[in-house]
Amino acid sequence: MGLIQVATETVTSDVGFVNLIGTTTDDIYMVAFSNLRGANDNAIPYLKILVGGSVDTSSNFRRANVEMKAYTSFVYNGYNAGQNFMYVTSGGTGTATGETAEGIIYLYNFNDATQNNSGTIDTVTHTAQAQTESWTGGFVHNVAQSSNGIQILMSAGNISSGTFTLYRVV
Amino acid sequence: MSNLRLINETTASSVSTFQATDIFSTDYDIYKLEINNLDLATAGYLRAKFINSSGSVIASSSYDWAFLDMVTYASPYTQQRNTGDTNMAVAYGGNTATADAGGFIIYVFNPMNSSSYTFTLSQSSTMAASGLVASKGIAVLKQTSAIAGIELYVPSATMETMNLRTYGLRVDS
Repeated sequence: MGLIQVATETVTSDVGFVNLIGTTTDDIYMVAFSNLRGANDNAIPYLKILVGGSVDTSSNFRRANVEMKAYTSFVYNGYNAGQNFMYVTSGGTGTATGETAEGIIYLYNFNDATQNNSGTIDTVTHTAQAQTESWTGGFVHNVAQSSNGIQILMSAGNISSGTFTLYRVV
Repeated sequence: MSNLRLINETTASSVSTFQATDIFSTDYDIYKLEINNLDLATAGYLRAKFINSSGSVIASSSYDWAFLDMVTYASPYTQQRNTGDTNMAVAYGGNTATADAGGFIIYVFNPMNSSSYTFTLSQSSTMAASGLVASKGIAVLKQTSAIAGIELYVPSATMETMNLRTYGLRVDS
């Protein structure tokens, strides 16, 4: 497997969101991020779809996943009703040392206008409660459209740190 | 040129503990570890400890970990987890038959960042005596130490063969 960098952004002071743009071929894309932290305790990172560089606000995300928790029983989720955002983690990040989120996201069929956008998400978070857990699963944004990237934002407040990189898988 | 850069490849045979030192540096924040051809003399769970930049194995009670075993026999899903452990359980390491060597992928985040904890994401596919064991897992070392390497082992088992490739995910700013 090879990775060709398409876009990257490193956040060192508060920003409202990060846009990763460049899913402009029919290849698979991978997003890798590290040291992601919100400015507010308990804020959860979200993902949204970009179409022509603008956020798709429609409620078309479906998801299925397991939240693996080091401290208690795992939680299995399936949600088919449609939401206008996608969870990137289960618990929220925190402002204390080590309370960050890390992850790998694969993006499928983002460029192809005849297909739904879908993806897999694997993240690990040490939460604002100092507990370790995952978001492990997949999503579909069931609108057949050509999308040119994703936006990462927090459920509340700003992103205060993180490095986010979009790669094309070759 | 690919941004997935091969940093190191280490092969070992007939060892009880496998160490890869000085594989992490400040050049990368995220690493992909590929474990191939892990052939065990005794079945068991693959475990890991990080090695700091001074070369010391970190065995304090600072690891949280969890993984989901998915098997082709018995109850298909088993939760495994612990907090404040002295090591990370990664996944089922495999059975002892000649053809049962398994494969593992471990992503490591922030190992040399001395203001962040070091995290892992893992997945595997191995053979047990009764069938396949696949897994997805996570772990964190709750220390901000600079981490330069990793130690892998299966308790009370000899690793007859073992191959580890370490890649860095290059970010060009």
